[in-house]
Amino acid sequence: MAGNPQNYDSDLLRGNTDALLLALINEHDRTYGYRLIKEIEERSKGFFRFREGTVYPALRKLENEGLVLGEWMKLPNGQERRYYTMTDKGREFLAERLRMWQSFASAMELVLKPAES
Amino acid sequence: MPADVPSYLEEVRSHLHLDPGTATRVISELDSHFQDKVADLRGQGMDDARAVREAISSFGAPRDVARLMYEAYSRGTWTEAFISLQPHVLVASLFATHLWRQPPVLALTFVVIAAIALLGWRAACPVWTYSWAGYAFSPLLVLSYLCRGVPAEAIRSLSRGGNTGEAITWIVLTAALYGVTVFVLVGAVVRVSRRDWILVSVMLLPLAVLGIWALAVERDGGTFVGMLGRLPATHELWDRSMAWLCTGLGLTAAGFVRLRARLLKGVAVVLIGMVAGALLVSSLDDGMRLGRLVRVCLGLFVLLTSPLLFRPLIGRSAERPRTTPEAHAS
Repeated sequence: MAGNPQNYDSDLLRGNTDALLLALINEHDRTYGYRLIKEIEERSKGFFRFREGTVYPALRKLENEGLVLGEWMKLPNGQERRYYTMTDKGREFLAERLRMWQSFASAMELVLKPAES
Repeated sequence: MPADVPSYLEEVRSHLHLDPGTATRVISELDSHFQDKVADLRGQGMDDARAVREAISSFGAPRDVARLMYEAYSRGTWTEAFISLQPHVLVASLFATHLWRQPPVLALTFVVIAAIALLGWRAACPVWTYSWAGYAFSPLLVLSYLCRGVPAEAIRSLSRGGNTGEAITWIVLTAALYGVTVFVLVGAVVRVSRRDWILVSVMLLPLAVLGIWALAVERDGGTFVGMLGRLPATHELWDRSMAWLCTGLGLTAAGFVRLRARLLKGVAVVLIGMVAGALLVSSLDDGMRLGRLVRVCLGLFVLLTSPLLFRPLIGRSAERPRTTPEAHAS
């Protein structure tokens, strides 16, 4: 366990949901909602636990902004599933968000870390 | 919280307020999620009932999910906002140029409006349909209003020993007109209420404004028909007010398409309807008459919020799509 999911401000996660989703979609040719939810939970060792119903509206917003592309596919068992793939605009957006995040995290660390004598 | 997935999805659907095609896409994606999740939990050794309970509880309350989905899906494009603006601009230009007094131009405009409303109606009711539909109903209502004295006149003519065949024909024609008007209007209101009461208010808004104006014309200039072809100075001013007001309604309709939050949409439509009514009454009256102003504002408030009461009366079942989810995929 990376930590108790209650131990962070949920606004922090909400503000970064799009970056998390985009980062994972970018790693796959195409992926779908449930797989994204599982991967976030597994890779954060249970730290990030979404209310699952919030992921699909977030995916739709990414789609509206042209950052991902959604496509219906029929599985051999007859189940229909919506798959998401990254667009060029999404890749650029993600790269920018990662740059911003790294600068932010470095600056936070500089301020929060006790000054070295 | 519903105990099984179909009931849960049905509850989400009933709160979605989206067009049937989009609602089907949303529900299909959620259904697919539940199939994956339940299969996964079963794979971890859970029994069926517990897996379903767990899948539902980790997804969230149906109303919350529906609200988030509505906000993600309901915002129309700029093109849709532009199309929603057009019937209002068209009617505004009729007033600005005084061309509403030319029966052929008036008839042609409303035929075009009705045709476009019908196109939208037949094609999954995109959000712009409702501002066209509002104006499309007005010829039927105006005609019904103008014919209100026909049955009484026909009966008087009969009692004076007039032509029986002619009198009965007029009575039958008027009854048929009222029948068609009620059928079309009630049918539309019931169907649109199933999707969202706010859309009924959007549809009623131009009808209310045109209704107030038509009554004022009648009060001031005798019959509405008598006004055609005449242009007294006061009515030229009224035309200008109506042109501005219809443009304002158009901007409201376009803004409505672009807003995300449903509550904000509802408040905007009701509030702007009341403001429009107040502006219209003060421009049609000589000076501000507080009593009349309050009556009109209250009347508009009741009219525009009354669709809120329709849904419990007609049941909560959301409108069903006519095609499969795949056909709606984008």
